[in-house]
Amino acid sequence: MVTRLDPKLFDATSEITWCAGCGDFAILKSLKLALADLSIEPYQALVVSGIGCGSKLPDYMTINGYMTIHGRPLPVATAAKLANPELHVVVVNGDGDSYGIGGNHFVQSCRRNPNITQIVENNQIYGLTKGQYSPTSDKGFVTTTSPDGAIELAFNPMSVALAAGATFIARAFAGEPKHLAQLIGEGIQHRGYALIDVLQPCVTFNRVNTYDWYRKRIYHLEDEDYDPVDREAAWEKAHEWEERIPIGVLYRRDGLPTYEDQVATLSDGSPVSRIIELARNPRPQQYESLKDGFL
Amino acid sequence: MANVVTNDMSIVIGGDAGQGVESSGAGFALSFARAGLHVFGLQDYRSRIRGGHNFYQIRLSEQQRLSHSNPVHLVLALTPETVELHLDQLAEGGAVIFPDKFEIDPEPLEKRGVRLDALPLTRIAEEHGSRVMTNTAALGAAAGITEFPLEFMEGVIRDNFAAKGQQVVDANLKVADAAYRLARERYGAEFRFKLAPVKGAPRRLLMNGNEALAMGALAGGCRFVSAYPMTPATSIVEWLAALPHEYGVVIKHSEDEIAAACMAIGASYVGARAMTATSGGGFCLMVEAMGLAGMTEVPLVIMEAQRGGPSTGLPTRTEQSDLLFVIHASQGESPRIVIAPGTVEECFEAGWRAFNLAERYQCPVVVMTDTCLASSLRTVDADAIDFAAVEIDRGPTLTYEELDRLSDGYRRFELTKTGVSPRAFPGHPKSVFASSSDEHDETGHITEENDNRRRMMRKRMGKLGEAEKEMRPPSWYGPEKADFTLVCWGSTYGPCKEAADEINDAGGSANVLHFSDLWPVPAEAAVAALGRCRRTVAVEQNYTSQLARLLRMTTGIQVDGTLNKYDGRPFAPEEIVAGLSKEVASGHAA
Amino acid sequence: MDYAQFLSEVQKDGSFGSREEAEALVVGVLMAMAEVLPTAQLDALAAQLPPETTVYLRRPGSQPDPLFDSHLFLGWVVSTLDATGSRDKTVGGLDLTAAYSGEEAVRRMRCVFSALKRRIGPDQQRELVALLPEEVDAWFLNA
Repeated sequence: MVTRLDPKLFDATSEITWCAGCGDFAILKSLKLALADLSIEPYQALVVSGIGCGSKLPDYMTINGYMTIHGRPLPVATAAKLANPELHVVVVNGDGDSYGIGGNHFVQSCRRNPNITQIVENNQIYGLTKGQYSPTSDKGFVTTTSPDGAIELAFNPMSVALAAGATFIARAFAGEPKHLAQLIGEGIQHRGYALIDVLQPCVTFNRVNTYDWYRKRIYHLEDEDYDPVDREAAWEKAHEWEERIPIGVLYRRDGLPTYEDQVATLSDGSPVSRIIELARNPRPQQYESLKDGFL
Repeated sequence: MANVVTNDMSIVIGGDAGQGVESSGAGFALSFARAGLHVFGLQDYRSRIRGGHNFYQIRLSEQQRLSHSNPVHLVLALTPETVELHLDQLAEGGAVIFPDKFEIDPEPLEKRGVRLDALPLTRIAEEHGSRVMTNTAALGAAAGITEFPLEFMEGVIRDNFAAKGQQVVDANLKVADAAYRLARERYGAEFRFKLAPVKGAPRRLLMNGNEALAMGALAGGCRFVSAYPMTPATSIVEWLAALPHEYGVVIKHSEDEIAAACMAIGASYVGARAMTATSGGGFCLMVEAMGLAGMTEVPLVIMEAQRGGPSTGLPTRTEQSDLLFVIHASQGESPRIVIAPGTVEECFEAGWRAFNLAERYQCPVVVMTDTCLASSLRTVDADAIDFAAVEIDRGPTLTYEELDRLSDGYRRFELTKTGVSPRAFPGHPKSVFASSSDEHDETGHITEENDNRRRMMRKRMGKLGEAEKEMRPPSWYGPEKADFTLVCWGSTYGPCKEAADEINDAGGSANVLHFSDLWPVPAEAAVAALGRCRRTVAVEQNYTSQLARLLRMTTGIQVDGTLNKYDGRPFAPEEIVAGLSKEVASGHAA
Repeated sequence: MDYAQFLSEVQKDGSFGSREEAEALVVGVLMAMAEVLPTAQLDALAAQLPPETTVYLRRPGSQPDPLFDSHLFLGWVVSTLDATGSRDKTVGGLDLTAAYSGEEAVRRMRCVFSALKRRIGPDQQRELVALLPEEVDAWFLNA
């Protein structure tokens, strides 16, 4: 991959608290590379995360980073993009943060199509709180809060995103960082909401879904004769899991307007640019005619 | 005719939900406002689309009125039930106008000296238009019986029904005219309450608290609103959403209130002036976000229009029972500012002042109102809505030029004397920074180190000490020395003011102490003010006297008595007068 | 060369409680190597090792991932060891011993690397060091 900026621009000195071997290292590296490759400088981007091990990612970067509250990075990011559409906005959070507590915002974002990219660090477990099951844990997964095995069916982000209307749906594997970096880059470039669900082993708490477990199952969609614009095919692939897990771009629909494209009040300026201007030049007379509505 | 009273009365239009009582009531109120009268329009409706009694109560006067008043002089009854329900409010000499096909028992009314003025309202409506115009007929009749020139009503009819087409306009005009003439002919001579245009009255706007708040926010530079509809706050957002696109206000009807608050935070984070609007139940969902904004020092404006609780409570009715909740909302301790405008004019100012406070102190600012203030229409001098007086103060921010000149790295949470760090927005090469809801250091990166934690807590909470310096002291109304002081906050100012007037006019002694800046409490000023009072009575629309408790908590001063109303209806001045008499009678007098 | 003997060596070297533990480790390290080495080197390595190991030395894709670094390599190894203690009764979840997992993983990895180095010549070793990711090369060299 030919990088245009030096990815080291995004390095920070913060002590990384992830366990040795955590798949988040690969995600961090791939995100830096993707941004550098697209010549996006740290000051031009905003990374918004939730709460969890993976949500500490912005803390380990030199970039505009906002670590918010559990389940809520999507609305924060969506509004940041609306208020200042110049920023490249990326959401990074875990499977619990995105598909559990943040589930409503996830589904709404799929149909809303804001021009942001979401990278979900999907390790099928709750890491930071030390080993409870998560929305994407497979049925039967035994943990401290599911001692008899998880009862619910695992949440399927691929099919839910597809059903809800997302325009770019991809899955990656942390054990294949180059492929991951490529997908992140494509997601950032995609005009609209881009989801990259990253299968990422939690080497400490998840003894089932290990690098080995994923390696045995994953295959590249690019290696088959697969066309990601075919929605029916995507629906089929979205349900593959037990024996074979497809990674790559599952579905994409280009050319649709983003949410921001369709906000009429954004055409002549953004909420940020307007208040900067108003603070300089308030022009109170612009509001006088509004009194007529009350006479 | 004996004792004609001109331009001092209240009219009630009552009917079932779905009969158009609110919109016709509001239209009626506008016709009086245009004629130079002062209007106070109170609506009372249920949480339903159809069925159940609701009414509109219009108070008319030549003086500014900040409250409705219960003696009612004319009731327009669109249902028989209306007569029963408002019987006790009717003053001697008053009248009830109703469709003549209703069977109303005249005895209770005659006993009260109230006239029964039956009119063929439904027939007039159907003859000239359709049955749905019965309320137009009733309003026409009211104008007739009070001998108020019909032209003002006609103007409002033309404006309000224009969108429905000329035919509808003409039909309504005919209905109004026919009812007007018949009512005046039959009953005008005997009805002693009259209404007449006031010559030379200044231009006045008929608006409610929500509209004023929204206007103030717009003038203050708010260009991002995220909200979830919730009675009675919804109209704030709808007013802004209806603005011409040129104003550039981005409105997002979010999936829920959690998203609404988080979106406002996201927009504010990158430098917009952003707000959300909700009521108590929605605010419950925003509590975690309050903490996020406080911890990451992001300005956040929340309009909280209180309503009857708890839980779903009385969705369309008024209460002031969220004060202590809002002041303390969210886990741990983080700064916030709470203000509660008392009148429509104060709502306009609060609309833009909230953003200045939020950005000066980089914390949440909650503007608390209630259903009564949010939705009651009032005549406001057009000049009182002064756009030229609006200030935009963004607090300590770093311009791009200043950032260019920065020699060290930018530290978003730099420790300063006031606790407020200069704010830069993402988008400039020098303003790359992190923020975290976890405890963090000056650079925004996460740390649990204890010295840093102590410094950061002092920094954030220290901002409250700074903010307190500009919190307004409570304001006075009435004589400097009085036997009783009515202590109040928010919209109870209106009825308290009138109650004090009534008491003083009748030879008693009362004044009003009104708090509009509630957190941080202007404690010193509060102590001084309360110290000047002989007997204090907290007048609050809640069960637990939250302002009284707040004052005691922050000043150690206990009020002498409380008057509480928690039935979802706003205080009428008479109720306060009566309540105060009880206080006197029960030996609480000095 | 006997597979059982190979595992025995590793087990003894690392003081593992069971053959199974040693085997899980060996599999992990070999699969990690399969992620980073080209087919030619993998075949050459397999030729020097017991036939039971060949299946783990299969190249998963056409080319090694150039971004596969020491963190990911370590991840394959850490997966084979238990980094949790028992229940954490105070705050919930499982108590970690993950603080040591990195070090422990390197220690264990070295046991496998030693066993490998005993079976391949110096030239082959040099080739491997040149191809292994940064840090992993040092672990191999110092094993």
